[in-house]
Amino acid sequence: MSEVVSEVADNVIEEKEPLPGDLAIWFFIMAELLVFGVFFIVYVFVRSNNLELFNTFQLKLHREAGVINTLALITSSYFVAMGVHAIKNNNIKQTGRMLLLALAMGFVFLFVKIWEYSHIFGAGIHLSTNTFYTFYISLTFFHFMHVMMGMVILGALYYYLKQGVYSAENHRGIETGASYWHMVDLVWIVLFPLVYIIR
Amino acid sequence: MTEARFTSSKKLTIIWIILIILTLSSALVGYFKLSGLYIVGFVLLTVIIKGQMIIDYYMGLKNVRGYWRLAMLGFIFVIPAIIYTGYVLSSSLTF
Repeated sequence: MSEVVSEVADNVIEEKEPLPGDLAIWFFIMAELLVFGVFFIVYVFVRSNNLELFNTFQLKLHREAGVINTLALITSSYFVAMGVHAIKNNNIKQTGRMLLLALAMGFVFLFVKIWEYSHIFGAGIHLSTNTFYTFYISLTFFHFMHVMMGMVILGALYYYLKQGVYSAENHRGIETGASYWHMVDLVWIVLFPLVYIIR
Repeated sequence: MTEARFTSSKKLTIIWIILIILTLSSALVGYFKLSGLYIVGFVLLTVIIKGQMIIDYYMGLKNVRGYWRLAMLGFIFVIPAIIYTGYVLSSSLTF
């Protein structure tokens, strides 16, 4: 009886998989999510004391640009996930294609965001225009920097892939970079409705 | 083996389609400039569903050992919950 229980327990343990990528990236991701989480909570707290101001200026944002960027990041995450799937199957060419497509979506995000900033700054709006714009600019720019960092990582992954570093047996680096990129996406799917949509 | 590969990439594609549909539903809320606590609740619910899908299937934490999945899900459940509470409190203050 005890042998059966032990065998079942072993099977249950075997069903669980190890953490994808390096352990360090997960501590880093948790730290990043904590920082963004605090930022979001402060936004909600400050908004509750400036309700009219936030509701008024939120409507002046380019919601369509926010939607395009959300679609771009989600699609980019999809390509990265497909890239990880491809490398696990030792499909190097497909992995490369997926990383390039993910990078292309990253460029779409950057292009739209820069276009959005150029309109806002062109209208004479800056960090100290009002509290809403202080949050809007600092939150989105902080995230923008993370997107750029993520794109550097995706570029490096592509470079090392072409150098023959990654394979089905050795794909931890790709999983690590992919996890970071998904974190960037995860933050945006909270940031986008908070800043652009909900009132 | 081939079947398993196909199913897995197919699953990623289905999840992508669901994520796009959920995003477009939030986009419609923005397009029609809808507001109110029910709307906020709906949009935040889509955020939680999207976040859970990204964590489980794109990050690949669905069957991972330890508490990492719970920690990640904590972010995507707790932050929207706090946001919603903040919106409820601020709306009750205005009445």
